[in-house]
Amino acid sequence: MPTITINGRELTVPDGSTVLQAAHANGIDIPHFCYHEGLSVAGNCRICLVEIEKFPKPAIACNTVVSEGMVISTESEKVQDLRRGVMEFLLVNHPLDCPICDQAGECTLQQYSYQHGSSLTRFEEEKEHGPKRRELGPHVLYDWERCIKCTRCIRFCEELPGTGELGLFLRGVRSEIGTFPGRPLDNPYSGNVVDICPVGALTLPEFRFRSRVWFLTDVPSVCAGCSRGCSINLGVLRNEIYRITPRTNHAVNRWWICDEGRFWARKIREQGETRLQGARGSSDQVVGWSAALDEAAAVLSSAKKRRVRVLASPRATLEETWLLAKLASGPLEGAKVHLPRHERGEDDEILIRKDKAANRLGAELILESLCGGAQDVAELEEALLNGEVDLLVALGPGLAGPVDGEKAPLSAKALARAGQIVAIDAFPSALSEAASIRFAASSWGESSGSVINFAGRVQQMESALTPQGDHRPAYMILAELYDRLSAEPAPAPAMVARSISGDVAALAGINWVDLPASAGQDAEGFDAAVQACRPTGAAAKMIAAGWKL
Amino acid sequence: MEKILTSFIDVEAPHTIEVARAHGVYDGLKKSIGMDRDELIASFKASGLRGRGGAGFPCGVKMSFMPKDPSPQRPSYLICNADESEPGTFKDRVILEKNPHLLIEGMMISSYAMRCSCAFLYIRGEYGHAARVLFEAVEEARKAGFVGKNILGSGWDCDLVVHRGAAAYICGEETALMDSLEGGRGNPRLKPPFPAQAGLYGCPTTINNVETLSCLPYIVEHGPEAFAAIGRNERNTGPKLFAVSGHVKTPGVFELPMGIPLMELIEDVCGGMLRPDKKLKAVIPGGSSVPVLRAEECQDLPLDFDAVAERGSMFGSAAVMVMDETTDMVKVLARISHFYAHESCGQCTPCREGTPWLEKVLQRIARGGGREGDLALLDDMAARMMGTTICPLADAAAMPVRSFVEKFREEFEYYIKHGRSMVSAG
Ligand SMILES: Cc1cc2nc3c(=O)[nH]c(=O)nc-3n(C[C@H](O)[C@H](O)[C@H](O)COP(=O)(O)O)c2cc1C
Ligand code: SF4
Ligand code: SF4
Ligand code: SF4
Repeated sequence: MPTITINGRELTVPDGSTVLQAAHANGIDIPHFCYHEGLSVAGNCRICLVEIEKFPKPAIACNTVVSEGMVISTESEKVQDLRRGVMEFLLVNHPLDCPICDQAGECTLQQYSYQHGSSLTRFEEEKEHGPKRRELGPHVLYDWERCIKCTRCIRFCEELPGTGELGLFLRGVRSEIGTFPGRPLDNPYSGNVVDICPVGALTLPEFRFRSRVWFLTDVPSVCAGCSRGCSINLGVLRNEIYRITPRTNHAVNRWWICDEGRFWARKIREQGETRLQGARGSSDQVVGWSAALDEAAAVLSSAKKRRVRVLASPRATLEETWLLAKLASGPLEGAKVHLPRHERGEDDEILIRKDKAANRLGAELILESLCGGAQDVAELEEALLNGEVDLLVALGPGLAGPVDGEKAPLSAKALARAGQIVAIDAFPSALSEAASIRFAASSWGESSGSVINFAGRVQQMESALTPQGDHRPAYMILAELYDRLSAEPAPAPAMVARSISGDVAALAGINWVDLPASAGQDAEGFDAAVQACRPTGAAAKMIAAGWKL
Repeated sequence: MEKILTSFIDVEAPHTIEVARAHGVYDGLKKSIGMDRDELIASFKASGLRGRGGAGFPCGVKMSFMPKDPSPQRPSYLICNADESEPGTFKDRVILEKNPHLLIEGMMISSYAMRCSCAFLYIRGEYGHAARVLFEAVEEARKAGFVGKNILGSGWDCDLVVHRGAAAYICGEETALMDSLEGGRGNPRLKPPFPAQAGLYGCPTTINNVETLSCLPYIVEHGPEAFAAIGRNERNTGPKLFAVSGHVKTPGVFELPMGIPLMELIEDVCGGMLRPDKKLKAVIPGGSSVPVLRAEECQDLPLDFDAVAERGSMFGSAAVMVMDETTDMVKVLARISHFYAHESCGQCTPCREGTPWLEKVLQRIARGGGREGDLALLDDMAARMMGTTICPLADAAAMPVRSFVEKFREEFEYYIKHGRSMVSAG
């Protein structure tokens, strides 16, 4: 642990840290464009030059490893002058089209111009001009004039997905970022290059020119796309999600998200017309939410004499699952509980998981504690086909978004043979088609709640949108049923968390109050909990296999 | 002086192995194989041989950075830098075309001393004829047992690969050359790590200029003292190839002892000024990137690393460019700046943006559009490019600007004031 001095402050820093890391770890800002924590060092932008005693010339902070007794200055006259020089060079050929640039407001070039630049320019020649809109791939557009050739985007493609679609072409001031013939930028993580581009050179066609970033409110959320549960921000304006960006969380997704997650909100928006609406009773005589809820409650209260099954969902939140489990273990006591799988593709060892549900582990933990565990759906399918199910109470597969193209957990044939089905879902599926009583739930982004990812990380999401159609948060629908069926009312969603901690040992230590603000928290001893849920230890193995970053 | 590098280039077919061997080429390799490797390196140090590629780094010292026990997993490599692209520099070409076996011998001696298992020769793409000569020469040497497996029965294997570049000046920078050799884009790498730690393919690598390596056989055969006896002093030893161009009667490549006075080179070796009635105006003593010297600074100037540096310029690649009084210094500088703007790889902000900016300002002045403040701007911009980038190309672009503007200020001011050249105005 060498001791160094930065700007007169003596600091002891970890062995092998670079000057830039040491400074940042101690709250000392050193400007940087090309350096990114998650990528290799390129050292090309030259804005992080600092003075180091005994060094013959200024050194770049990002590639200089500290040594014992090093005396560094990051704010001297000389250093500030160097930064002014680099800023001037960077703006020589820059188009300065901030007024129409998507990056404006969150642009490093703007910020450093303000902090380290000069308000005057000495450049009076003709600027270099180049393509302003070049498709690098289906999700990314390139503006040559804004690009500062930091190569972050190139390094990202080489180092994270490992696909290496991007390269630097031509030379000198004509250098450009491009793709190789026949190989567009098209990998499952391609959208991240837009986030890490320090300027407005890379843009998303879906967000381009749609809003100034300062009008967007970033609502912290969790991606519903798979059991990774990436931490994200939903950029919201006028009750619409304009973009989804990763929220740095070293315990879950680091700085990245996959493209499927990035375009999740678009998928929901584009298929908005197909959404389920309203509450539907078993006959035309049942009109409106109250009547349908009354009818459903009546059906559920007759459950004792009948053969009942409950279908939970790994896509429902902890709170929703808890309330469903309360129903299953109370008014529906004796009912067998099932939890379907929604799997597609393979785990890719980066972020993407084949388990396309955000809360499987959470659902398993709760159902284990409250209902003695949940079974797979194969047996339920069988029982349905054999006509052994009088009543099925189900949370649907479409709670977090459209399910088109996905294999349905239960076949239409089997569902048709159920006595009665009470279903809660947001997007249509075989289940909602077959339901005798059906409630339209709000979808992902419209309700709040907690989820536990495949590795035991508990995270909360806030509701970002006010539901527009005729639907209600699934929790509210379940609470209405619960209220009609039990002596005491269901707790408010925000209060459920504490009950969950009381019921589920693995969650006893979760500090729910701090959760939304933090990066989430690990379920305690979740390894043991996972083992308990899955005697095969498959999840434990998945966790052990980890991911490659 | 006895010629060492070019002793038989004027005979018939000097590039063939028969002729080369008849002139003693490969005797040095034979002598060195079997010698203690560390003693060999020590003798190179003792010879005082400094790198001929431009920076003048002591050759033996560089060799001593290499590991003494390379593993098969991380073999050591030698690279010969034959990218020769600095404007004014055409000295290596003589060796490449006329004396390839001397170079191959030097490369094999160096490879042997550094325990290399492969040597690479990177030749600039435009040197087509030289490349063909080399391809043939390497095959001849391989057949004769000087290259390849079990060299001269010693049990030591070392191949030699000739690789043609694709015409980029930046690929002469040692680490860009390695990237290019590996099949990538030739961009200079960040240092550290240095090539001796992690160079070509991440393995320990030493890179030397053509002329540097061609000096080694003589040192082996005649001893470091004989080599050090040539030259001006013990820090500036050995024979040197001078590539002289510009306003002299007989431009060309000349092998002369290190430290020959500049005026002697111009007057005696090159037959004096091209037009005897035109006076000497300026000399660029070491390739286009080094600071220019005014005529009066050229007097009593021994051409070697230290003497030229003391005079405020650099010996560089010993490419001597001679300009008489008819030369328009503004246009010369604008042309030089065009070269560096064109050749910047574009990684570093100051170089990518600064080199074309310098060129644009200079071209504007040369077109008659100079403005007050341009000279201060040029100087300040150049100062900001020096020492702030990954490789020295930005310095190479900046140094001529600073020196031209400083030393020929009146010509630049005239242009700015009158919109035309002082020189053509007579
Ligand atoms: C932009 C640039 C271009 C260079 N071009 C050449 C070249 O063409 N040939 C050469 O031998 N060295 C060139 N060098 C120097 C090499 O980087 C390196 O120092 C040299 O090959 C070392 O050999 P030496 O020690 O024998 O001089 C260049 C350096 C720079 C920065
Ligand atoms: S990249 Fe930044 S500085 Fe450039 S136009 Fe966009 S907002 Fe402005
Ligand atoms: S496109 Fe953006 S990330 Fe890529 S090199 Fe240019 S500025 Fe950097
Ligand atoms: S100084 Fe110029 S040539 Fe050298 S690495 Fe930087 S941009 Fe490339």
